[in-house]
Amino acid sequence: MKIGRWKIIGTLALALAATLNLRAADAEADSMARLDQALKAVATFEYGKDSGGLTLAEQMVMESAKNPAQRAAVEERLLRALNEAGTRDGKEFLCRQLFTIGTARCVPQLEALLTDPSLSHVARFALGRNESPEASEALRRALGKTSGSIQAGILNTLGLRRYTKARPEMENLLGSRDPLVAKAAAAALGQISGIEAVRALEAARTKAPEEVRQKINAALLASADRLLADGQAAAAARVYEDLYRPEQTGNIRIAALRGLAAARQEQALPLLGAAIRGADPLLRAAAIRFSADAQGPESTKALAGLLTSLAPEGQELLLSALGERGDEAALPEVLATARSESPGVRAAACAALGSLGDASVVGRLANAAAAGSGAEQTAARASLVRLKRGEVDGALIGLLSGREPKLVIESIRALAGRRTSAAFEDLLKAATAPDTGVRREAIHALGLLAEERHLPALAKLITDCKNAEDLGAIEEAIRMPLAKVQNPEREARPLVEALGWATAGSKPTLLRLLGTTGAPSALAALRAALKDPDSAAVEAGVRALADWPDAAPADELLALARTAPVPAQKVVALRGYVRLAALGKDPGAMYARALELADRPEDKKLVLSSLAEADPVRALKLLEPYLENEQLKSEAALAMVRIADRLRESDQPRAKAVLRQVMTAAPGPRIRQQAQEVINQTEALDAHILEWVGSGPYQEKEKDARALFDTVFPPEKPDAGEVKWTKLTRGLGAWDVNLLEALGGGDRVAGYVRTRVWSPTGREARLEMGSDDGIKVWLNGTVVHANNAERGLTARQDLAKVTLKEGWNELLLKVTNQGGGWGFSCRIRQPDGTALEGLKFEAK
Amino acid sequence: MAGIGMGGQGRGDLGGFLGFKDVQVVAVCDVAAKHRAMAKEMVDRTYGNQECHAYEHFRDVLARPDIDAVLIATPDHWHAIISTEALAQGKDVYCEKPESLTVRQGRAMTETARRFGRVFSGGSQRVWEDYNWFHKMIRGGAIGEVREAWVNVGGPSEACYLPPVPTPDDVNWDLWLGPAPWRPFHPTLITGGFRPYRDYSGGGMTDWGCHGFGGALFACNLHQTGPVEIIPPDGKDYPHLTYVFANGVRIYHGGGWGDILAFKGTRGELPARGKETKELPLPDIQIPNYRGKGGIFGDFLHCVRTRERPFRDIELGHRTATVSHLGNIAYWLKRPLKWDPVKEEILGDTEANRWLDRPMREPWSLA
Repeated sequence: MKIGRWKIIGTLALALAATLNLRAADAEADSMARLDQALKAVATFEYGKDSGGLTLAEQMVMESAKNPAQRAAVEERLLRALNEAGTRDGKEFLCRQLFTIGTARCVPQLEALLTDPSLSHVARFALGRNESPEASEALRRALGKTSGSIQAGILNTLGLRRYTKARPEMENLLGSRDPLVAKAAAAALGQISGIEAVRALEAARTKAPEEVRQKINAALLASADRLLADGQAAAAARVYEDLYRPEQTGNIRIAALRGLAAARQEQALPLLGAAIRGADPLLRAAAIRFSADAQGPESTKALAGLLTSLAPEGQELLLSALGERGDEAALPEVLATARSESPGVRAAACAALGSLGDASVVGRLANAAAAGSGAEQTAARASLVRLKRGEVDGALIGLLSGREPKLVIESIRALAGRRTSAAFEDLLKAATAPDTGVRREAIHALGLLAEERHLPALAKLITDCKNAEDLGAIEEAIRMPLAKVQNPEREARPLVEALGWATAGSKPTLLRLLGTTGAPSALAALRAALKDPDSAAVEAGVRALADWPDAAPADELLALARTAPVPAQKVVALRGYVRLAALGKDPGAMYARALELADRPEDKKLVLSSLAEADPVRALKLLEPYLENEQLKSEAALAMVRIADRLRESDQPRAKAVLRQVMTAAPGPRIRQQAQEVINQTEALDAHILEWVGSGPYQEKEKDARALFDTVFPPEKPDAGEVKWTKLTRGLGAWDVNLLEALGGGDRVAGYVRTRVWSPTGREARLEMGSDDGIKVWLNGTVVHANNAERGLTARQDLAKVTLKEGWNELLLKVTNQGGGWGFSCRIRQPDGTALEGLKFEAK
Repeated sequence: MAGIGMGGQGRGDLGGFLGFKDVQVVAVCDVAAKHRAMAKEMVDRTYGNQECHAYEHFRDVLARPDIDAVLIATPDHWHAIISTEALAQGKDVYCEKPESLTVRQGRAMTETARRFGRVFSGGSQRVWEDYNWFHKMIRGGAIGEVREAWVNVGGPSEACYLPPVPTPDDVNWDLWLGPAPWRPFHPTLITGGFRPYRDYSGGGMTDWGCHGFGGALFACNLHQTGPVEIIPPDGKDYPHLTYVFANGVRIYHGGGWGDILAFKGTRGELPARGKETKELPLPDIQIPNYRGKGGIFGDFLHCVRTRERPFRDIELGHRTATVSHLGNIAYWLKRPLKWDPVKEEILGDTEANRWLDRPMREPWSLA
């Protein structure tokens, strides 16, 4: 479970906070008393013992950090406890608390522990992040009293603290014969950095064994990075140069090159250039990456100048880096590569232009987008959207009046991608251009850019439109801006107004769009459309009413279903009416009327299937007669099966009755199969065992449900005689047992239930069980099923083959709970899952 | 490639990488012999030979010059050491989320990747694969300007008091602990049960939090920065832990109506609630995500070839984990924190700053 544990802490914390909201002084004394009590447990704590006191103490420590007086008092107590604590684990706990609130006061006691191998780390853990200079000094002193791994650890922490005063000791230990210590000393010097540290590292390097030398180089790298960050570029550069020598390992050289690029800026360019042109592909790739960081237009020019001397793969990487720099000084060289023979290079150039370029490259990119394909086209299109410098939108809008349709299309795409709403008017013009592709792209763009205020213009586009396919595109496009208008009436208004002057061709579109608004004025317009002399408008009106979002037009539709002059419209209206029945106040009555009206078999079938969603009682009454109608029995039967499915959890008997009816009516095999499936599922809850005695809940400290699953409690032991078994009377459902009610208990527990099963003969059978969470089953003393699950309860989650002996059988279940719900279900069936008669149960 | 940390999650990831034809897994590594064996068996079965090497210590893996990239799926407390060491040894790295145990570790991992010019992908395939509908809707303007987000994930990590269990012979327990403070063995820690405990991980805040916060940050386009205030719940003005960002956006821990994520903008909410809310169409918007094919692993492998930065570049993984870590600190100390996302420091609160890093058990360190 995702939220289990922190809820407990949160609740504890709130409870604690609530308790601490007593009057301050009382509260303070109160909480100190509780802390003292908790600390008593710490004195003798060992892993495996009760940690409740520790958790409480930790909470109080965490909270005391806010209040200096309280914090000092708590620290005092922690130190006293540290003095008195008898166990290693207890002292560890106290050191951890001092991590949170320790001040200079705690340093002496922690220092004393630095030489204790079992506690050195946790003492250092606390000292390491303690800001006081005393902590640093204590660590430094400890260098002289420790050796080996512990000494190395202290060096690490002094490095973490960047305690430059310990440099002499670090330099000294750099020459240690213990490589562990020498390496730690090197690393620490790398952290504190500075000219002297560098000198010491370089001096030691010549004599150091191989593994230490590698560490020294890493430390020199770190030192140089630190020097650079502190503004000492020249000193840093000198170190980097040394590390860049060809004898150094590849990885150190790469890092050194990066440092040089950052430290020497333009002066590093020749080196970067050499690496970029060089033979080592990793160094080249790294150098190109690093060149992105070298500052200034001179660097940009120098790098851009390298483009022509590289192979295509190198050009691609360099173009990407130049794009990242975003410095337009590289523009001419980048533009030149845009004509490369290599498609990859052209694509990389297009991509780079997105950040380097300005309005002047719009034409070039549009051409690449129009004429190109694959990665080049994608990159060019993306760059047109990204371009920032200059009057890019203006340049794009300028392209709209061009003569080459493909270019115009790319420009429209870009304007849409850039969400340039200022282009709306121009796009509106383009939406009526002679070229079809241009028109379509413009219409699509208008849909993306349009705000509510543009809706009248779009509605006019509809009414002016002469081309059926364009009309379809506009209808598609206008849906987005319509959807954004939160108020139905405002949404409908421009459409209703347009309807006022619309000619026959565009009325259906407007009516369809009105149909989605749900606005009263739209409904009025649709009703009016029913009387329109133009048949297309009438039809659109009928369809829109049939698709209306609520049941308001139900009566109209019913009337149309009866009297519409065009048969097709009758059908549409009837179907709409049936659809609205589900939204109406009295669906049953509506369905009944619909059934009366439906004269075509298809329509009757439609109504019958829709009844599956209606209220069961009414629906069944309407459906039953049709079971005897050869033509329509299939639809009726199917609808009844679906109703039975809906009923099976809440009203099993009725569900079963309906299914029996269906089976008796002998519909086709497919429906029989579906009915049988629902029967099986309905019977899934039958005949569950509810006669049990129980024992529990059982738990064990620090054990979660997964662990408890295998923990042997008394009920599992062979002589479970002394266990108290109680008949379960609470928590018994129709098929399941809620153990929280039956046994009580909460998170991380296990419970047992037992019953006796009498079988007339020895026989094979099947146990069908569900559980929340884990379940283990013994039959006659042998484990027959075990599933250490964590899940919610549903019936028949697990199935297990078992053998019942003749006479009485002992059935024992163990159910664990990790958190939340706790329960189980169990029944015994034939091996094939059908009912097993003749068993008797006794809760004993 | 090699896989380091071959418990359940690690073997799952390794299986993913084994499916790519340009990957050859040559080694696996784990401190528990059983996990090593299972991982080796999986690799050998895929290739139909016995050639996969099974190591106990990661340094033996990293010393091999024939390994170009490593998958790291150890518990969180090991991520920083192994990944930085791997980067320094010339390997590209794919590291499972949560990428870091502390804020400083995450920054060190990022810096090391940059220093050595290497490709480093963090985990969380869910940020794109599960939540891209949100990203498209929000960045496409479907709900106007996003103002609030809710992330429903578990809570902070806590101290570990599991009882001692005798260390099995086939587990190098000292190596499993590594930089973490010493404690006796317990089997749940090596079978994925380490997540609730502060010494090894960040609890639900980092476990599902790296997915959830990662998704929320990316959707709101805040993934390259961080919050400026973190306010724990106080039972009155702040019912949930609240992250406040400089641009006014607020992200809450818990309380959302969605499954993991929920958002509210100036013009709507996601997921839409109630019958009146209209079905908003998906905006036509391209958001750069994975390069190459094959999900997050494919993205990593593509970047290994082209040296580009992957979608979950370590800097982003670090910034996401940082959000989780800051939340944990606020929960533990129960006081609001002010954060500088550029300097990566808690302002005006030295004790809270202590929690940004931890001294490692000897002989381990990051330098």
